[in-house]
Amino acid sequence: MENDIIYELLKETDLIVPLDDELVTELVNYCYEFIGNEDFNLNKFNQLVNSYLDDSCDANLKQYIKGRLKEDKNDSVVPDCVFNALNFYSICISINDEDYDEETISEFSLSLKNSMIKRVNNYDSLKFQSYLYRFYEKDNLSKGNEKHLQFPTCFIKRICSPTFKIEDLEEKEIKDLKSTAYLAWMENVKNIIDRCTESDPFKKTFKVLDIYFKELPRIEMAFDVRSLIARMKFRNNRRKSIYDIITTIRNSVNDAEMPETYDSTSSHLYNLIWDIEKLDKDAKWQKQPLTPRDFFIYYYFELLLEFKLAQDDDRE
Amino acid sequence: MTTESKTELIDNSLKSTALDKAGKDLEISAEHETLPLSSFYNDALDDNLINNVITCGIHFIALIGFANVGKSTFVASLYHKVMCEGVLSDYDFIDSDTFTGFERRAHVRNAKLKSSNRNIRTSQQEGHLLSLEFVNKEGLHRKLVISDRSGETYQTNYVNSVNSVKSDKSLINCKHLIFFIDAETLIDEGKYLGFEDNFDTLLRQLTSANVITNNKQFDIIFNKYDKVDSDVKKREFEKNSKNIVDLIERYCQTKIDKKFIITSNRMNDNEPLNNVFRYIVDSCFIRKQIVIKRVDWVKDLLNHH
Repeated sequence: MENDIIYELLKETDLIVPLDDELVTELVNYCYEFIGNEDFNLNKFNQLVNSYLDDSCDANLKQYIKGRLKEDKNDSVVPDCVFNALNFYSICISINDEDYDEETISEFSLSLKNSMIKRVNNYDSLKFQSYLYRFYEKDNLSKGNEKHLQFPTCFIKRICSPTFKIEDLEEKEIKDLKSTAYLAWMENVKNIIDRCTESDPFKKTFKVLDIYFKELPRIEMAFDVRSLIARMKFRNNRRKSIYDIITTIRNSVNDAEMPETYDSTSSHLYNLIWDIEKLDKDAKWQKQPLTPRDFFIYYYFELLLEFKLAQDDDRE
Repeated sequence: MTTESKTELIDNSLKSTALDKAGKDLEISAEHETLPLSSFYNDALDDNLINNVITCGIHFIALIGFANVGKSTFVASLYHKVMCEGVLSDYDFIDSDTFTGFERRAHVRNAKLKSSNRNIRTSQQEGHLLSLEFVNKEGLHRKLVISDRSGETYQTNYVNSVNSVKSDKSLINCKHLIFFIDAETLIDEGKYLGFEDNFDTLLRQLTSANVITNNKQFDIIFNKYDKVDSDVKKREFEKNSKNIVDLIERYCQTKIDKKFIITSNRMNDNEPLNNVFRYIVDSCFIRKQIVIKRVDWVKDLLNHH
């Protein structure tokens, strides 16, 4: 599949004369080598994505390909538009690489989706669109796991009995115990939203999601974002620029709440909130307006990915 | 263009000159040719070198037409205009990778205008790709690359051999084709019938070789309209130009939006010619791209909410 893609991608470039098949094969191999390197990780993947969104090629990938061409004594001149296509191609093959497990691919895919905030409302000049959206589908993280469970009445009655001791818990009741925890979490989310009296929808999003992710027990217990939005009951659908949204939020928080690290390569809104130097009212993407719902979704998935990565780190 | 790539071009250019000198210096394949073959710095480029000058966004146009329809004259007039005025439409003319190639065409045009006996044809052997770089008010650079092949290539090689067309990779890859038609031929009954047959064959060959496909942009330029100087000729032109448009539309399977009627060798007070120039340079900066709705995944998600 990938070899066919490269020719399709190259057709979308400014090449006047198509490249020789032999050269294309070599370039494809270099891309595989680059993403197959053991150092390749989500950060390196995000560098490819950010370069793609800037219509350029990641400097590391470019340097690698140039170095490999030199090693192979190949003096072909590769135009920048081809490097840009190879950059996108490397994104495609990383998301499709069977050497990565499903979770890693989900992380790549969600990260790619999150980075699209940098081109929000401005997709018309974005290249390779007919391939881009297909890679969104590899994201299993954002699907949510909201369950509709029966209240385990008998189990609750049993454990609430004054004579119940933890040693009395049977193996088969673990499932009921988890259901109880899940229902408690659902109730808690409802309370988090209901208790938030903030009237500004963007500040409310920030506050609710801050608590939500601090209290989320496991990624597997994350809600479907659409159900959360329904619970948020946004009445005001007025759009605000990203710059103004972040400024408003930033003014409502104090530095004591600042997380230990906030230099994520894919969570652009999150970075902006905590690193004021990244706020730039002249940056095209920060001028783009978002509705409260749009903002909720972008910010929710940024935090979801950060949560997943932190969970991975804990596991290690 | 970077100094590095310019140096590479010079080197390659020198290599090909040496080769020509050694092997093909006196080889003249087309019977009209009298000039020795050589490549100079900034000469028109061929398919082997053209990708090296892609330093910014490119708009590539192929001028398709038989010998003597005025393709090179048209290109020389465009060059003349941007060199004299430094500006075209709203864009500043910045540079060219092929000044020498343009100068050669300007010479051909001038020689023809002055009725000189010197060679006045574009050679089949010389490079056919010419570039002009423009910048808009926002500082965005775009390069216009024009394929100006000799008319004999279309009239003889491509009409007679589909394999010749298939070997023209840049033409197959080109997404904006402009057909050049000689208005004088359309008003001469004797010439017209032969031309129509030949042109039909050319279009068939171009279709077979996938030069004409349904995802491309096609325009038509009727040149030498100054020769259509009487009511009788105008009626003849209208009738036959319609036939040619129908023929092209049949092969291209699309309506041709832009049809220009010009006289390309006159620079002064020539608004129709200036309109074509503006249209061509504007094309460099207008990039049609269809936004695929699913790319905006947030909107997609909310729509399914």
